[in-house]
Amino acid sequence: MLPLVRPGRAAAPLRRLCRRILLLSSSPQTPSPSSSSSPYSTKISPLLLLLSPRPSPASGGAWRWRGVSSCAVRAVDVGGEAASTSSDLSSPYLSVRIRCRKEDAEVLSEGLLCFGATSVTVDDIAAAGNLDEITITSIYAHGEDVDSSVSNAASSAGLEYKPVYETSVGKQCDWVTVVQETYESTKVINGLWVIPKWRTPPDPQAINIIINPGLAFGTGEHPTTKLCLLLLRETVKGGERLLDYGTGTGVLGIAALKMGAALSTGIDIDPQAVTSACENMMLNEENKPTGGLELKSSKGSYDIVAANILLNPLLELVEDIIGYAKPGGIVAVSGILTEQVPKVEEAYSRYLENISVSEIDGWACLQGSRKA
Amino acid sequence: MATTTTTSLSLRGIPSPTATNLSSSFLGAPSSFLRPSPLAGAATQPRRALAVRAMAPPKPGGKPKKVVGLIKLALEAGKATPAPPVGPALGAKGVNIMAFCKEYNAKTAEKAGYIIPVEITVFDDKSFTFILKTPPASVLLLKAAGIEKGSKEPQREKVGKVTADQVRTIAQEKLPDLNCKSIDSAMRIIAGTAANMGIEVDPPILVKKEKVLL
Repeated sequence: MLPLVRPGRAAAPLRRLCRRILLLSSSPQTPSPSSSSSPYSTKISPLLLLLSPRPSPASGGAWRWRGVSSCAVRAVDVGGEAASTSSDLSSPYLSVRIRCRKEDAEVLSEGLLCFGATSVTVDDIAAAGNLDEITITSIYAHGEDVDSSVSNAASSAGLEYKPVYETSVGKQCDWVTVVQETYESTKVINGLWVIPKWRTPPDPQAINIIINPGLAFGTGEHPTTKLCLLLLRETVKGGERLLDYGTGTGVLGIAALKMGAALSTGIDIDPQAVTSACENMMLNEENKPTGGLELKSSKGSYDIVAANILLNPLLELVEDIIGYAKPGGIVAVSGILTEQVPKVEEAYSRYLENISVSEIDGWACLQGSRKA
Repeated sequence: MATTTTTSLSLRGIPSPTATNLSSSFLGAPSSFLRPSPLAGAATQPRRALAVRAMAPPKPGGKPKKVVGLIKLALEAGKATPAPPVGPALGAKGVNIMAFCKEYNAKTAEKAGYIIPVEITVFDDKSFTFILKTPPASVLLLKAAGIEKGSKEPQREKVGKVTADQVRTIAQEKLPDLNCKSIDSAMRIIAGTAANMGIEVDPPILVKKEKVLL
């Protein structure tokens, strides 16, 4: 068994999502021996979360959620490229604060981007209103030659002085906590809330999905998450089997159970997402993942398949996604912009009938039922 | 604390330079023209407050948002992740990183393989807007010329060649971001970038300046 997540790693990049999902659908399930010391250069597989609710008479009519959960780690070749990108998150970076004259900020920041900086932030616009100098914060990959980059940028910007700067090594915890603090309870619709675990649900009677928002996608406030949750609210009547394809925080799977689904399976190619989904499952009184589940054998057995990912993986994985739904089962795909709907519709209309599209703020969710 | 500093600075700094600037730029204006300006700041003249024009218009439904940061990132289309630089740069401003990544990746889905720079404006309520830029001219030129790097000494050592048609295509793509209206001037800008990288344009678009004796 491989470790799911290396300690200190916070999230896996979205770009691996696409890559690994692709690999999932095409790779053989046979493990191969690893030759490298890094867990990521070896093999990572889809993780499955299998949840099932059981009503508890003691809780006054409310559903109480027990999990029969499974978490399978299987070998799928992810290739060297994915392995190298997965180390991005824990790798240190250099944060450089550069002082320059206000009128030079624009041209200097362009110059910095040309000479190795990966980001440029012009700070304190309001506070700098009456000052001559302004601070630019720039991020470099670790090991980059900051000094020559700054002087090259300064000379290309035509500055007759070399800006003063200070360098510090950035840590991941610095920004993850800042981001976490910003999450608020989100009302999806009357009676359906997504609540960060450190906040008290404003409406205890509502369906409250408790999550620990970190760096996995699905914190409730994004239009695509809302669209999918609204769809679940309409389609889950009780006893359904749901597959959440690209589960992220697991928000859709957990929501479906709370609405009465019999079983919900979440898969993701991102180890961070699976860690996050497991944790959130427990926050919602699900049990710890145990045992194994053969995902392939569950093809064609789901009443609802929800995939909130992105345009390209949706197009490339159309057959895989559809394949999990049983004939007549509902397939919902989201993570797409309104203008991308025609492309998705073209790809999915071969397999789906009764297609309808819902939209919020320029984002769309396309749903239909699988043709028999 | 920042507010107090700012206020005191503006009180000290603004009135006198403004007055001098005005008097110099309005040379020849009747002296009475300048008279209202010292009164403008006085609290006893409420109607004068309307003369302030440099304020942002108030947004409907509440006070206007303040911009707290402008972030520029060069990211690969469809592949934004919370890893540095996105996480630290946006996280420092409290922006919802995953929401940004989702939106950036969705909007750049059709441009896979290119660096699409993005400029993010962050407001004081942690909301953000962003605009996508066209890929850097240098990257497009390198791709067109089929080379990996520009020349260290662009004047003497040429490292590649592009056709005028390729320059036209690049100029067309970059036009929205360039400070010009016509395709011809955009082509000259691109050709200038090419020259600075040691890439030749065939046939040449820019004519070498020759000294003319008058």
